[in-house]
Amino acid sequence: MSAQGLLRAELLKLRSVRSSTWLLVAGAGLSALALSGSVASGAVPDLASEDGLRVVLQHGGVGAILPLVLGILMSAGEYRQGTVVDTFLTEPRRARVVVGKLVTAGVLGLIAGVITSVTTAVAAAAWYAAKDVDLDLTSGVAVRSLVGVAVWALLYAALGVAIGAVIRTPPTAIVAAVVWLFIIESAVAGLVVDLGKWLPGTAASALGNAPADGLLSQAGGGAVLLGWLVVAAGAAVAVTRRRDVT
Amino acid sequence: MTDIALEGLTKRFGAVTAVDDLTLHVRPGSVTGFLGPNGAGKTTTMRMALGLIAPTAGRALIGGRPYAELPTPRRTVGAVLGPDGFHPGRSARNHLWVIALGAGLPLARVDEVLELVELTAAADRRVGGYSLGMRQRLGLATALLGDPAVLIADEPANGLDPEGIAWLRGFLRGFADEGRTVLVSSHLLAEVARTADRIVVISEGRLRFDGDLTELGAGADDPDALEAAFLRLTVGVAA
Repeated sequence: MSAQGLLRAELLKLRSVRSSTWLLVAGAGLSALALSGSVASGAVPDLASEDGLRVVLQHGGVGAILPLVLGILMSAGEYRQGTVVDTFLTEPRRARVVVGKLVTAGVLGLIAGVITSVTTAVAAAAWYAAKDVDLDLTSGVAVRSLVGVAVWALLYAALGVAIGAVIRTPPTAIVAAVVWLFIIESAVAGLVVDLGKWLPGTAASALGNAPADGLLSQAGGGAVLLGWLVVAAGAAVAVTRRRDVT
Repeated sequence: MTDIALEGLTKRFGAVTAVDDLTLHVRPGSVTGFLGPNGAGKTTTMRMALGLIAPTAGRALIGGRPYAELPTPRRTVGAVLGPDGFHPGRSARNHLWVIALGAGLPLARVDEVLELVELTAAADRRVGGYSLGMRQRLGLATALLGDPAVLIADEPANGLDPEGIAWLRGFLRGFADEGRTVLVSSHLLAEVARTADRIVVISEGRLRFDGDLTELGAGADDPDALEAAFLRLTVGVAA
């Protein structure tokens, strides 16, 4: 089967059901909401500083959880609905199916990420104007933050595909991912401080240009998150190839 | 002319042997009825032939190749594997389009198979609202999308009304008469007796009978004799 046909089929799978497409734009709303809450509550002490701006814009990464969920549904949803049978009958070389989903999710994740970046920038501009603080969204630090947020969504969407291929029950996969990112990671980071920055969610914060101490550099965070993606994708291919579809 | 060859096919799930050293050659141009009680290993056998389940031992070849090595699997083999493999929120047309796109089949073929199984009027409705019989017919449409040389159908009559069953019988007959290969499973001997040129019976994963109806010691017009023969082959064989 042609790679193009595989990608077109994956896109149609998403376009032809209602549930999936809203996930792409909902992340942007989530990010704007988180940003607003943070600024309105005064959690960012110095909006005018470079670190202050990085904290504000890093909220764009909050929305990346939804591309991650989309990715999980793209893989695990097929087992849930039973459509995986027709998918494998069409393309019995299963590694190609997984790679096709990774690529499709990456493209959609990037689109979601760009929408989120733009929304985040608009929300930040509105809040800075309301607080009467100068904001230059063309500055190096702003651009780096916004690009980081977009790439974050791309990598999370692909990571979701890999997670959903390994854990085939959608609710279980989603809960596992959320529990890992929001609970286990911070626990591990608290217990073994040096380990924390190498974990995927924390590396994603670094990719989002968060200013916290103890994080990797932005490029380093991106590279580590990509590394996790490669490991997860490898596991996804391995288990998918061996799995009996009963 | 594409055949199905099962060679010493075996599948164990943990301690359970679902299919046990099954060797079978399914020839083109005829309908082979694949019979056995529930749990006999029919579904596992068919899924192994389609590359969905990996055999513990032996192999299954279609036209001399494992399914995964077929250059154009959808154009070679059609599979009906039950009424459950659909996303409830997707329309029948989109379900078929997904497969046509993935397999590089012409989209016009989607309309043809919808017409063939009489789902054209319902094609743009979501499958979640379909009856069992409609989903079964969509499964058949899916199988026929690639105009395949081989049809593997697992209990395709389940959920069909009497009219649908009669139609299916005629369809399978015509399909085989074009020189194509049909392997159709059922747990009801009477259901396939009128269609099948050859009857293969398995029970507890093993081949129990391979021949035509007369060899089974029953005419197709005598349902009681058929049932007796079937039960003799499949009940209490392990004891």
